[in-house]
Amino acid sequence: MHIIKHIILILSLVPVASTAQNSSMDSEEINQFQEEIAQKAGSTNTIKGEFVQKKQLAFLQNEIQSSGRFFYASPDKIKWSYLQPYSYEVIFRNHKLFIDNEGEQSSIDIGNNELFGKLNQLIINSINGKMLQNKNFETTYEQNAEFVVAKLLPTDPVVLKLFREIILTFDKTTYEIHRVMLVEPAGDDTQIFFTKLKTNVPIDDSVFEF
Amino acid sequence: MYLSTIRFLSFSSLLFLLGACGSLPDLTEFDKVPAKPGEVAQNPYFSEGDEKVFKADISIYKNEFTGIFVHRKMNDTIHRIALLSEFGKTLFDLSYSRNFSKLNYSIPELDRSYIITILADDFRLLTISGGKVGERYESTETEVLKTAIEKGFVYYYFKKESQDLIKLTKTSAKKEKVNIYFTNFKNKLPETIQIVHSGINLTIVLNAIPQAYVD
Repeated sequence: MHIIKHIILILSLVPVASTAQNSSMDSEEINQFQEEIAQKAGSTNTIKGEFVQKKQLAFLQNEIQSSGRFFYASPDKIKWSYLQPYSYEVIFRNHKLFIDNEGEQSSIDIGNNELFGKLNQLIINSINGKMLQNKNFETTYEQNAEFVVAKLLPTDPVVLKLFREIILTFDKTTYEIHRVMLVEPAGDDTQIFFTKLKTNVPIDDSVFEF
Repeated sequence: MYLSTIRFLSFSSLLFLLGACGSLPDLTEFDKVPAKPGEVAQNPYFSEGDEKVFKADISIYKNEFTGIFVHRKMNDTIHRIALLSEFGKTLFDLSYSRNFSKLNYSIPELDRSYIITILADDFRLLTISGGKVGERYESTETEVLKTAIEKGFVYYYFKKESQDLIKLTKTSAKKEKVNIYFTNFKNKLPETIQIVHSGINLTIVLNAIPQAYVD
C-alpha cells in the first residue's frame, strides 16, 4: 500500500500531455484572425444559443454546474435564462438589470455603477467578439487544430480586482465563441461553454422583457 | 446577483438597528427530564468531506438578494464557505472553526463588511455542533437538548420518532437571537434550511441544489 501511494504521488506530478496542444501564432496569423473576428462582430446583430456553466472552487473536489439559454441583440441587450438546476433569468437592457428569480421579479439601475457596467460589457463583448478590440487588456494568442485561444490580462485595476485573466476560445472555422473562462484573483474559475449558436436570426424584442 | 449584493451592503450599517428581540424559547409544553450523562448534541447534516451547494435567498429590511452558497467541512475542526453570484463569480470565501475565522477572498465591496461576520456566525451555528447537553426537555413528539456556549445557549430540537433535527435556537443569556429551521426532508437530509434572526430583520433561505448538478 505504501508503494502504491508513492506511485500515485509520482504520477500526479508528471504532466499529462494534452490531447489538444496549443501552439503560438505569428503576427500575420493573429492579424488575420483579429480581422475575421472584427468583421464577424461588425456584422452580428443577434446571437442565441445554449450554455453550460462550470464553476471550480479551489476547496471543492466537484464543479458546480448550471445550464440554460442566452439571447443577445446588438448593441447591448442580453438575456441569460438559467434552466437547470434552478430557474433564474437576468436581462441587461437600457442600463438596467431585470431579474426573475424562480418567479420573483425585480430590477436594478446599473447606470451609475462603474464596476457592474464593466462586468456587463465584458460579458457581452466576450460573446460578440468585440472583446479582442478592447484596449484595457493585454492579449496573447495560441491555436490548436480546432480553436484559437485568446488570453486577456486586464490592465484596468477595477476589472483586475475581479478577474486576473479572461480566456476566450473561438472556433477556428466559424469564428464563433466556444468558451469563456474567467479566472479570479485567488485562482477559482468559471467556464461557460456555448453550443447551438445561431447568428442573426430574428429575436423578438419581447424576449428582453418579462 | 452581484449588483444586488452591492445594494444590500449599503444597508449593512442598519444591521445594528435592533428590532424586537425574542425572549428565551417557550418550553412550557415540555417536561424537563434528567440529562443523560456525557450526552453531546450533534447536528448530523454536515459531515467531514461533504460538499453542499445551496441556492440562497437573503432578505434584509425588505431588500433581497440571491446567490449560491457552498459549504465543505474540510477536517475535524475547519469549515469553509463561499458565496457566489449565479454567474459563478466568487463574492467571498471564508474559512472558520469554532473559535476563529479567516477571509480567504472577498470582492472589494464586501471587504470588512459586517455582513460576512454575521453570515460566518450563522454558518458556524448551522454546521458546528458537539456541545455538552446541560438540560433536556421532552414533549410527546419532540425532545430538546440545551447546550451552553460562550455568552448564551443553543437549543437542539429533535423529532422523537425520526430523530430528525428540525430546529436550532441560539440565545444570549436572556433572549433569542437566531432560529434555524430544517424542512423538506429527503433521505434524512433537509432540502430547505431557513435562518431567521430575531434582533435584526435578516432571513436566509437555503435550498439544496440537486446533486446531479454538483458534478
